[in-house]
Amino acid sequence: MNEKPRNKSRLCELCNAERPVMVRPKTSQKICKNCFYRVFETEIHNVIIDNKLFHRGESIGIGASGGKDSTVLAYVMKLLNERYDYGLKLHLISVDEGIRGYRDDSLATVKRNQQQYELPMTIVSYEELYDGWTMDRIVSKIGAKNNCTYCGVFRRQALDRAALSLGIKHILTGHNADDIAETVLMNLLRGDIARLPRSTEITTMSETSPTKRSKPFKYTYEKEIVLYAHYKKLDYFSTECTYSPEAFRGTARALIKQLERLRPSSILDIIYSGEAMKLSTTVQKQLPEQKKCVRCGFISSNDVCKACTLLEGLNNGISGLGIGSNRKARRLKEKQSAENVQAGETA
Amino acid sequence: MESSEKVLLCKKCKAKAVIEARSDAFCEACYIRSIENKIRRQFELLRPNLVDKCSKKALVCVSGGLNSMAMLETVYYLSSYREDNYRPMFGDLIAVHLQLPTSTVEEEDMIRTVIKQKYPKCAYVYVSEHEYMSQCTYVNALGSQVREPAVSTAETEQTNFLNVSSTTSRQDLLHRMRDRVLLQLAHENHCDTLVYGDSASTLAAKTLELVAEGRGHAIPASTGVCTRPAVAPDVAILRPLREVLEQELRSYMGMKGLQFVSRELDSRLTTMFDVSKNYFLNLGEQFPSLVSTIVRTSGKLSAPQDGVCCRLCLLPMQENTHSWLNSTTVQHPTNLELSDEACKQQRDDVCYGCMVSLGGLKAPLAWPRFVAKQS
Repeated sequence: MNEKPRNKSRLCELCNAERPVMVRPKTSQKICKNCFYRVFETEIHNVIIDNKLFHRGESIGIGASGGKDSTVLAYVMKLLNERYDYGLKLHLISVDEGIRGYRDDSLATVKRNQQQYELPMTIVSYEELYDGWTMDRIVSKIGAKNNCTYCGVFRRQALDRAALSLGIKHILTGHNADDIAETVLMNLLRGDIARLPRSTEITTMSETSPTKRSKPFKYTYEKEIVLYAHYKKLDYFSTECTYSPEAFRGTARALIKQLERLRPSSILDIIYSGEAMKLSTTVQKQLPEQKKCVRCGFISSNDVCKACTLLEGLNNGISGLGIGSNRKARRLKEKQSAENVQAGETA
Repeated sequence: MESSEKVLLCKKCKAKAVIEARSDAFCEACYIRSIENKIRRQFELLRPNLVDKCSKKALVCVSGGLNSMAMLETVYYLSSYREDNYRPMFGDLIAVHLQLPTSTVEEEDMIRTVIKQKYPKCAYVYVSEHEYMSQCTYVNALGSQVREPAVSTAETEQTNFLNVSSTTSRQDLLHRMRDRVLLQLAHENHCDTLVYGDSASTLAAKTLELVAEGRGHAIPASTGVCTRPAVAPDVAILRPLREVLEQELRSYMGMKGLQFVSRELDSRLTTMFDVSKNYFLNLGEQFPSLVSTIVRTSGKLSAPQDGVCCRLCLLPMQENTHSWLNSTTVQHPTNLELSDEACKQQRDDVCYGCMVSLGGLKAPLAWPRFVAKQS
């Protein structure tokens, strides 16, 4: 009779059979390795089925960067596709930003993953898509400040272009629960009211864009992804980007870590709150509509999309074009025109 | 020779400035007037929301802290008790101080003394825990109502909130219970307004706290400048200090020589509210407009009209709570669905935040009853 309480604390809380090897970050349960695999994979499967992310025969592009999120995403998607017979065609898509010493190493990781998982892979680079502008060149021109804006805008459109050329209409990204909770908090703290309802959608699509995006890891904790990759001995790249300063995003991340320490479920709670927050009707009417860029035809909130605006700024030597308000952009263009007139007079 | 040190001049009267706030410099008299004008302007903006543009009877929540004592000063000024007020906004006032597990006897003495001396015509009521718990139900970890446990009443009262496992859940439930009791008191006493002393700093921290607890649906009802709860629409809940920062109130109270109980943040942050407050304190210098941005953002959110309300906290809630939680977190040995018996026990009228806070409850929790009287 005395042995029962002692035995309970030594066995896995889920199966009561094996010895626990970990404390699960999401629920603080002590579970064994096999149970962790099962609950991790089952939760992702539940997300996929409940949200009806895929249909049979669909071609899926997986945004692969070599990091832990995309590596685990590719592995789990292949596993679930075979186990539950989704009938999907999986394809890895990588973007080469042109950062020497960082991206070439991570792309080597993606190539190794491609061989291990036996999935087709396509690499697109900024150099090909954006008139030879690699991130190394961009940073040398504009400096380290705001370079993440260029990289994020370019990468998003690069994935869309790659998917379009491959005939793929669905892209998966490895955004996990921590990323989404962080985005909810940042949009709230910055007063970015237009992005607030969109930050928690698991699938984002619109009539003006041929490609839709999904986040199967929306409810999966980052710690669990790391643990899963560790126990499965997956090969992934973990160095941080050399050009990314993290000022404001860092404060939101630190806040989330503090909240998570107090209550492990607070990351899910933040996501639930993000889904629950609705804009008032007067504010909704003022939001801009989604339309197509007049130059490249991809999705945009303005007549000219952000990528084309940033590219124009780089090509014409107007640094700061596309960053900040429209009034600032107009002033920069007028200044550039004045300089051109003076240059003409000098010649 | 000119002095190298620059002397700050008051923005309004060009006298020597004693304080610099939000990039403006003020002397003492002008600073007091600017803060008072800011608060009173907010009160004037609230007038159209009230019947006959004034409140016949107001319940004022006083905890003795910085915010509530500053709010009491302005409310008393705007009441009909003062002969010099030509356009009073408030008729009768009732100041209420609740006995909570966190309150002390010194606080109650200070409040009573201040009201007797400075606000003599304002009625003051001290509500003990025994009083507001005289009619209560008991809830278990699943949010279901259960029978009263077979222990003595005194023991139950003393250990009520100690049954909650974590300090975060304890504070969350304490906040919900306090709001519920205050609403009940306002309803019972036929008050048409219930005035909270939340400043902008408090509202920003509260918004973050609600988001972190899964109560995103309740942000408009809990932080709006004038809200009417669905269960008691005759009571308007006012939060008139929403444009004023806590540091500004501290300077204001110091200059006027008004008393308040000072509560410092514990160095170990043990609750979500403390983490949020500490976050804004630390970032206040780098990003000065952060607090006002988040308060303004929460003002743009809305809750659906005629939505479902949680049975425990009376705040708006979303419907799909349990199915959402069960599909996102697998916690059971098999992949089978929950047994029918377990499904029946899970209530569908308890919101996500209350359900998470009640999880881990060790013994039934006493919860005050809300009685909506027929008008």
